[in-house]
Order: sequence, then C-alpha cells, then structure tokens
Amino acid sequence: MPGPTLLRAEQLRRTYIRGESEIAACANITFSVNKGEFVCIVGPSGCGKTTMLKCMCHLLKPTAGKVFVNEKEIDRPPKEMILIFQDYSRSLFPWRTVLKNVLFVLEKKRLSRKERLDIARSALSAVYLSGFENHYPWELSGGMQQRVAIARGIAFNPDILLMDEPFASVDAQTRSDLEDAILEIWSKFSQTILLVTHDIEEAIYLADRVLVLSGRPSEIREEIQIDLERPRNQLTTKEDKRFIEYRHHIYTLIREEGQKCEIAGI
Amino acid sequence: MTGQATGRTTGQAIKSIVLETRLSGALLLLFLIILWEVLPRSGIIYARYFPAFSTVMGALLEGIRSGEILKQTAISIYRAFCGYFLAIIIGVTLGTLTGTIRWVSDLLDITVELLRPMPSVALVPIAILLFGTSNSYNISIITFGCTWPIFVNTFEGTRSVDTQWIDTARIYGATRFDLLRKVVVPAALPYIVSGLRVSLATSIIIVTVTEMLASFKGLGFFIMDTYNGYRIPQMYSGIITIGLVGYGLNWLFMKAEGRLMAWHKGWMAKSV
Amino acid sequence: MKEFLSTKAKGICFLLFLAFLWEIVSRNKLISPLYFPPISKDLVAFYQLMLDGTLPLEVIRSLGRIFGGFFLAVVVMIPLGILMGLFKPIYNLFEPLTELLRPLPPPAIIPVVMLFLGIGEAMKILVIAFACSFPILINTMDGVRSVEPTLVDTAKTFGRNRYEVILQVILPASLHQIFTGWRVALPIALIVDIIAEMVGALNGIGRFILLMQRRFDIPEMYAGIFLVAIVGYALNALLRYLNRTLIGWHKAKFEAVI
Repeated sequence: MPGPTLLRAEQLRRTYIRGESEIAACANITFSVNKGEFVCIVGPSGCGKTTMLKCMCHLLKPTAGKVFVNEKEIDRPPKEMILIFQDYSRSLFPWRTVLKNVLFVLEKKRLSRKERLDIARSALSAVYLSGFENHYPWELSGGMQQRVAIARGIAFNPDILLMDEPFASVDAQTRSDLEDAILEIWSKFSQTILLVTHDIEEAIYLADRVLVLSGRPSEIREEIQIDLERPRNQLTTKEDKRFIEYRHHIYTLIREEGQKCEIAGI
Repeated sequence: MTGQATGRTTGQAIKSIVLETRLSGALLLLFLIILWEVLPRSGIIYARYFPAFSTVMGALLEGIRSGEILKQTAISIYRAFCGYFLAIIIGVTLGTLTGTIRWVSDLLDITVELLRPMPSVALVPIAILLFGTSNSYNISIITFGCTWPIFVNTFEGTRSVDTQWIDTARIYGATRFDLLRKVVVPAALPYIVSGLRVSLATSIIIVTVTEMLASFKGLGFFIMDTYNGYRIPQMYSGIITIGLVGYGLNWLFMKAEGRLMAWHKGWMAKSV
Repeated sequence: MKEFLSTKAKGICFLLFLAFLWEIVSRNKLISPLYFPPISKDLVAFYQLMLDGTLPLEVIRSLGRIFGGFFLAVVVMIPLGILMGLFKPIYNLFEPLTELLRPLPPPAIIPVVMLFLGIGEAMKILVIAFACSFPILINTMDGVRSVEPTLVDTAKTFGRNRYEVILQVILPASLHQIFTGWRVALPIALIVDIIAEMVGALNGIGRFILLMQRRFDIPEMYAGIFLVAIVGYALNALLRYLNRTLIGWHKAKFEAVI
C-alpha cells in the first residue's frame, strides 16, 4: 500500500547561537514520508517543531543534514512541497481578496487566465468557500481563513503538503471540522501530508503513522503505525479501544520528554 | 405638565446638538468672521493692516476674475508637484533599498542621520546660487524637503513586513523581484501612503516659502509682492488661496487614499 | 560590538567619501568653486566663525526664538488639547476652526504678523508658536481621546476624583502621544525660525546664511548651513534622548526591531 518514498530527512540538525553557547533546536532528525501517506509529528511544546519544518523546506538553512524530495536533495524552497503555517492571519495577504490570495500561487505557472481562475475556484470549492471569492481574508472567521490557506496550498498542486499546527489557532468545534476537511482533501486529491501538532488525539485521528519527537534538542523518539479504519469518524474512531491505547502510549512518551525539558531548565 | 415635557425635550435637543454636532464650532467661525468685518470697519483694528472680511473677499474675487490669482496658483501647484513627484521616486526607491538590503542601509545610515534633520530652507541660498530664480530652484528645495517623510516611512514599512508573508511567498516559489513587487511593496504601502500625505502638505509649505524668499512668480511671491506694495487686501487673498490649495489637495488625497487603502482600514479595524 | 563597529565603519567611510568627492570635484573645477568651494575651505570658515563668536551668537539668538515659540505653543495647546480630548462640547466648538487653519502653511502668515509686530522677536515667536500649535494640539487631543476607558473606570472605582483621574491616569497614559506632537513640532520650529529670519530679521542664523549668500561670502554661507545642520541634528538627538528616558517602551521596541 505505501508508495515510493517522497520526502526524506537525513540527520537534519539546526542550531543557533545564544551568547557564548550553541543551542540545538533540533538534532539528528531522520525520517521519511511515502507517497500518499498521512504522517503526523507530535512533540512537547517548544521542542523546535517549527524550526524543523522551516529547515525541511529550506526557509532556514539546516546546520547539518539533508532533505530529499523525490530522492533529489533540495537547496532552496522546493516546488513540490508547500508549508501551511499555524498563523493564517500572518500568511494570507490582507491586501488581496480570497480569490486573489489563491491566484497568487498560480501567477508563476504557465497557465491562461481562465485556467488559473478555474483552478482557484475549484480549490476554494473543495474547502467549501465558494461565494467568498471577493471577500478579504480578514472579513472571514479564523477557520475559514485557514481553509483559504489550505485552498491556496492545494491550488498549487504540490506533491506534499507540510502543515505546522494548522488548527492550533481556532476553537475546538472549528478544529474538528477542519480535521475532517483536511482528511477529505487528502483522500480526494490523493495528497501526501506531513502535519505537525502538539495535540496527541489529533495526530492519531488523522495519521497513518505518528512520529513522536523528544524534547530539545528534538529527535524522532518513536514511530507508531496507526492501525485504524478509514474513513475516520470524530465519535467512533475516538472511542475505539486501539485509539485509546495509542493515546495512552504516546501521552506517556511525551510526558517523559516534557519532564526532561523541565529538568534541563528549558 | 405638557409644557414641562416640551421643555425637557427642547433641553435634550439642545444638549444633543451641543454634544453630537459641530454647530457650535460653525457658529464660532461665523462669529469670528463677523468680528473680522466689524472690528476693522469700526476702527477698533487698524483697517489698513487688517481689512474687513468683505474687502478681502472682494480682492479675492477680483483676483480670480482677472486671472492673476489663478495664474499664480497654477505656477505654485506646478512647482510643488514637480518636486513632490521627484521626491516620491527618490524616497520610495531609497527607502525600499535601505529597508530590504542590509549593506545599503549600513552605507547610508550616518549620511541620512546627518542630512535628515537639516531644515530644507537652510539650503535655499545654495539653490539660488545654482539655479537662480528658475523653477529648478523651487523644485530642488521641495524635493529635498519632501523626500524625507516618504523615505522614512518607506523604510519603516519595508522593515515591518511580516516575515511570514515573505516565507509564504518563498514557499510558493517567489523570486526576489516577486517578493519586492508582490509582498514587500503592497505590505509597506500603508506606511508609504502616510509618508506621501505628510509630504504633500510639506510641498505646499516649501513652495510658498521658496517663492516668498526668491521668485518672481507664484503665490508665495504674490504674498510678498503685495505686502511690499502695500496692497494688503490682495495679500490676504493670497494667503487664503494658499490655505484653500492646501485644504483641497489634502481632501483629494484623503479621497484617493480611502478608495485605494480600503483593505488596510478594514484589516486594522479587524485586528484591533 | 565588533559588528556594530563594522556597520558604523561603512557609513563613516561613505560620508568621508562624499566629503572627499566634494573636495576633488571643486578643486578640479568640475563644479564652479565659486558656488561649491572645497569643503576644506568651508570647514576653515566654520572654525573661524565659531572661534570669533559670530556663529555661536547667531545660533543662540535663533535658539531663543525657537524655544520661546515652542514653549508658548506647549503652554497654550496642551491644556486646550486635553480639554478638547475630554469634553465633547469643547471639541465641537474648536474643531472646525482648527480644521480650517491647519492646512495654512505657517510661513504664509509671516507678512500679516510683520504688519502688526514688525520684524522683532515677537513676530518670530508668534509665527513659530502658530506653526507648532497644530501638531501639539492634535496629538494631545488624540492621546487623551485614545486612553483606555477601562483605566479611567478603574481609577474611579478606587475613589479618584476627576482631577486625580486627569493627573494620575489620563496624562500618563497619553504621554507618549503628547510627546509625539513635540517631536513633530520642534523640527518645525527650527524650519519656521529660519524662514522667518530669512524673510525679515536683523540677526539669527537664517538671516546670516542668506546675508552671506548675498554678499557672496560663500564659505561663510556654508559654515552657517553646517551649523544649522548641527542644530537640527542636536535637536533630533535631544528628542531621541527624551524619548528614551521619558517613555520606556521605546527601548523595548528598539530591541525588538534588532
């Protein structure tokens, strides 16, 4: 069932200098994501998840290590990979309408004006935002804004979507709606998704495979195959005995890591 | 009983007029204009120095009818605009370069810090030496004075662009030029526009001043010329015209800004 | 610190380069040395005029006018701004008048004031005060109006009367905006002073510069302009210093920018 390897991080490491000492945000991150897979990374808060993601798409230069997309080493933000940020209000352009925000990502592609509009419109309708094309993003609710950001990602048609805690800034109800929306998009477009979260239940609910990060400097502590039926359901999946076992296991792991962080005084 | 009720509503009406409208302010203006008419006429103020309102208005209308005021106004506006547009080109370019490229800002930092607080009018004598009393004299001073607000605001604006907008654009494959054109400049535009507004007012001030000091045309010249020729009502009409020009240009600017920057107003209102 | 030095070094090198260019261009007569004497000559003139007391005297006179007009504006406009910010009827009464007078370029009233007051100190102080009034008034008013109502309510809950609320809450909370008005107004005071001195005065640094130009003492003219630049820079530095000491948030903001 898993396709060929699409994304591979090898010994990824990023450090920064504070005063005299060198602090590692992430150290030795090695993992891979296969085509069509939904992978979630969970880790204690403040363990350098965002730094790791930014290194993955070369927004930050890794101090050491390599990232491969389709077995090609990358040295600049790769076209095949799109990162969606947690903070939608800071990644949508407030001076562009919803439609123009989506069109932004198509402006570099060789397409006719009509093709661009068609792609943008269908991406917006995939996230149920038809009819809001001419609104400004800041006129919409938080959940809707994050859906615009997602529509922008899928309109670009990348091989893999990276998401950095995409649902952390919305309320609980919207959050579960967005979780289902992203699952729907994942299966509809046969996307490959790597999603980073601090929410254990969210990770299990969404993923085929969960990677648990250790505290700073973060490494992959454990890899857990999630064996739950699809399509998933907010009620029945989360009541499944296996779901609860996964949660128990991952929760224990993260607690341990969190305590290590506290002892280290971070 | 009814009388009392009416009394109360009248009282409330007066109260709401005083609180909600600027009627009292308009009445104050009217009162000042009446004073302006009465005091000189009654000789309480020396009418040679401070002619009655009607006399000044008469001079203004006469000046408009004869075309003299309009001609001088057109010359002043032309000079102000030339200087203003040069300042926009220089200010926006320099501001963007210093705001986005580190070594440019390192290079210009100290020079800018020394030149910026320099009052533009202090350069008037140099400009006179270079350009005589030609339009270039006025325009060069206007350009110098108007560049700074635009430059500083553009610099601040490009500096304050949210890094996540940049990251987003980079992820979607934007080149450096794309970043500048599609992210940095639009994001900095609200700042740039507020610099443009300040500079517009500055351009009117400086054109007046340079014309007062050394010119043979323009509204500033007209004011000094009528002052020296003791044509006092005409002098006042010139001052009023400058005020009207400043007011009108600012009004036009605000209209245009309201239309072009609607997104920013809405966005700011939302994010507060 | 090392990096700080290297960034400053680039800026200083550039400045020296400009001065050097001025010297070379003028000495080789690429621009008329009559209008642009070599910078070394101008600096010598500056040094001599500073030493014999001519320039310091002129600048002290000018500074007297600048601060006179500025403080006159502060004394009148800050109370008025506070009243307009606090009381809607007073705002309604004066707002149309200020809106009408604000777009008037302050130098345009110089001839009017000259008619009544001649070319003495009173004329300059009045014109400077007029020019400084609007930024001070408007910023004071805006500052007072934008004070968080919760702060006022909190103070009232703790039994502060109206005067205490104004002194202990509204003024401190609007201080940085009031100061913004000062920051805008003081450079304006300098500009308007120079203009007023150029239009009509017997002394002062603005008058000195124009006089030297008319007498074709060009190095002396540049010396005067250098001094104006120094005064402008010093006023700016003074404002920045006051800003840092009076309003602590500036420092935090400054550090956040780096």
